[in-house]
Amino acid sequence: MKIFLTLSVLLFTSLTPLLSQELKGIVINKENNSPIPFASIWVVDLNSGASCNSQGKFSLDFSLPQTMNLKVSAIGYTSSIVTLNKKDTSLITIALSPSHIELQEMEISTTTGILQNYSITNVESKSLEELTTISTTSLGQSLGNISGVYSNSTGNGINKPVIRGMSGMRVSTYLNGLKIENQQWGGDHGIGVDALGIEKVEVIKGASSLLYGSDALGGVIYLHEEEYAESNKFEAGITSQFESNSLGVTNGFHMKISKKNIRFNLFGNQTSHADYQVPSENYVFNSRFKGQGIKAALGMNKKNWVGNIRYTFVHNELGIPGHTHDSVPSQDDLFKTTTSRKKTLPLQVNSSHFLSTDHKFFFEKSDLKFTFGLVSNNLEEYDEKVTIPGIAMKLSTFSYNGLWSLNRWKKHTFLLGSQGNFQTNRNNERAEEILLQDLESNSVGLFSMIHSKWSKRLETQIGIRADRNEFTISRGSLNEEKLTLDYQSINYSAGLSYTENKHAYRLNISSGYRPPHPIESLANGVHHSSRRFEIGSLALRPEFANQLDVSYEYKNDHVSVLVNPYISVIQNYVFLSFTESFINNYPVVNYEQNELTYFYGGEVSFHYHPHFLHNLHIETNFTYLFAEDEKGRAISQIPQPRIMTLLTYDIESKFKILPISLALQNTYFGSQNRVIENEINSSAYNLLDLGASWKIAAPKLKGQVKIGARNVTNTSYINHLSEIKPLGIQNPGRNFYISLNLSINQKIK
Amino acid sequence: MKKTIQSILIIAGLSVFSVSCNKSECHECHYDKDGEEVELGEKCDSDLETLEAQGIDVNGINYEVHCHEH
Repeated sequence: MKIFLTLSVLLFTSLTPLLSQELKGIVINKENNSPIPFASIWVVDLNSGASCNSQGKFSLDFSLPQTMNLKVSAIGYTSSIVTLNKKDTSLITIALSPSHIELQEMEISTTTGILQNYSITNVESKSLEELTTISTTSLGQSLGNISGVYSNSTGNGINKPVIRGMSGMRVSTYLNGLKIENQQWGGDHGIGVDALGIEKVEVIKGASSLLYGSDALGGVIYLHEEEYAESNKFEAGITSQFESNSLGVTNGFHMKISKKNIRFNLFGNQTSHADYQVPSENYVFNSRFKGQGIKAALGMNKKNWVGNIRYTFVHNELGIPGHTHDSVPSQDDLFKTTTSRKKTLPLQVNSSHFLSTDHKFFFEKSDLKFTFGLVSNNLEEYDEKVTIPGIAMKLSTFSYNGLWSLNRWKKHTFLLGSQGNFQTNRNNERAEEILLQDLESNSVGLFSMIHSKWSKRLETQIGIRADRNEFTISRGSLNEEKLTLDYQSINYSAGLSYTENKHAYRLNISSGYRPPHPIESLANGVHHSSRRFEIGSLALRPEFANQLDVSYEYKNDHVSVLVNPYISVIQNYVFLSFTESFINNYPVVNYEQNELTYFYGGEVSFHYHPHFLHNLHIETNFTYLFAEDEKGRAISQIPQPRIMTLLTYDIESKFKILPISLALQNTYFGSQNRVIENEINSSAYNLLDLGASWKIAAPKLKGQVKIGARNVTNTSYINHLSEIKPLGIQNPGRNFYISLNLSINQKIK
Repeated sequence: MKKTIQSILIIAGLSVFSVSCNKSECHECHYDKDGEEVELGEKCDSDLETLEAQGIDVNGINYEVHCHEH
């Protein structure tokens, strides 16, 4: 404790003087030096900012850190990131280039905070608004609009992201720096959070254990919460969405208030969906779900310190469709002619509390960031009785994350970081069965990295990391004594980016590591919602991945093309092997592993904005993955090839009755015939979605109305990654939606 | 302005309350006897829990009770 106090005193007394002056500036057009009215000035570290006035002038009058990154953006211009320090106290001028396409030029790495010309690791960043140009039912479905990313689903309510063919324990999901831990080993355990209060999603594709630790073998989903209101502003609003197919209703509210050095956000929502309808007009029994969520964030800053406290609560009651006790299921068990939202069995009840606090201290040549978090997840699965769960577990995780960034040198930034967590899993005595025993785990990782900016064109990054994961597992059916499993690993990442005029090249090699989860080592029971009897193996070794990822991007004022092939080699890839045995009508599956597994694939993106038709945008992306083991055999659950094309047309009209934009999305899924034994092939299909949006604009009131339909042609299809595919249950048919969001904002004293 | 903030906070408070509030839970229950379902009607809360946990005794025989839609 004494050491902690001494360190705290040293830390605070060593802080350099704050930049107390008011920072004023102007944003201009780079081509003709004319001011850009109402441009947004965002202080990245504070998640808050201000807007320019009609003459393009701005003023930041709140306490600012020693150094800061300002993100400056305006409609029709390429956004820019400007780094300022206390010397920049005179009127600053920021010039933006006009652009028809939003280019990804400057990047601030979410985890490292490093400003770079072009992302060296493969990061795709999308705002939720972009991902819901045509509204979606869930966050998981929205993520499936990103190239290289798919959604693994169990009906409408349970979705988990799949990055380059990997999901579950091979993908780490972060909510503003806090890793989501919610029993993600289960095929039917979803992402665990919804779109409430989420502004932006970053997807890191491929092995990323250097910065994100064990489990980030297939990639990382990083969810950014909504930013605070502009300084001295108050904002409040409501959102509502109705979907015809599942009679789904989602209502939410938000409130944001920002004073000079303190900010507060509050969000809440409630959602309820009945059973969804398939094109044959039958309803998928028990695909109903409902949920509630609350999210709050408090941000503060003083001198060279910025801190946030964040809390999220999510509660979901998810029906599990496709329930049957028969080895040959009857269609009457799976489909009904009427829909309902009444709670029935089987049911998954999933509640999570996420509490975190992050603090950043700015020094003259460095900064230090800490994040502490607590995640408490309560999972109950009801199979035979509505008041007695089949399985019930409480997973509690305390995590910590520290990162020191040193900018002492002109060209180099040095990073030193540590991450870790303590976790306990406890079974509830009320539950009828134990699938995963009580356990404790302790993980710790230490890493360092150097980012070098050799010139305006060339940047490199290299890093190394050491990890240790220890699991202590209580006595169970496969282990007669208390058991301790201990794993260690070294990971690395190295890459470079080179940009020249309209061309950008990137090369990155990285590794990923994942120790076997105790469920894979010690499972010995029925996992009801997955409809199988699972048997683990203590002989499993950690998975280790090496990925080579290269990309080339060309962009000009009207066209942007990205080609991104990769190869990933995974040692000891764990998979579920179906046997010919049945226990209580459940197929018996064993956890086994391959010596070597190869994932070859790539993504190609194309964005065209014709000069002769400025209001039209055509965006296409193609995703392909081929996977095999060392003997050339197929790997299960490999996504279908996909071509997704989105056409948007912005309408400029004086008539307010006309929509401001129209959207048409066509998604073609190719067939998937490379399957393992007992896995079913998937046919090709095509989905067409349409949407239109209207703007509501009045003094102090703004909003949007969206109307559209997904699967307009009512195509009957089953996605290859649907968990209920083996039962022949189709994905939803035609789904009309209407959504409304309204918000008021005004200045406060 | 004050009224707006107050209204928003009241809505937020009510939402929090609705999340934490436990509503009464009722289900139609039955047990299987000689291959046929014997309906027990709608049971709620503690009655429901007791029936599911202990089953039902009929003529000295204990039957397992199921309380969910098929």
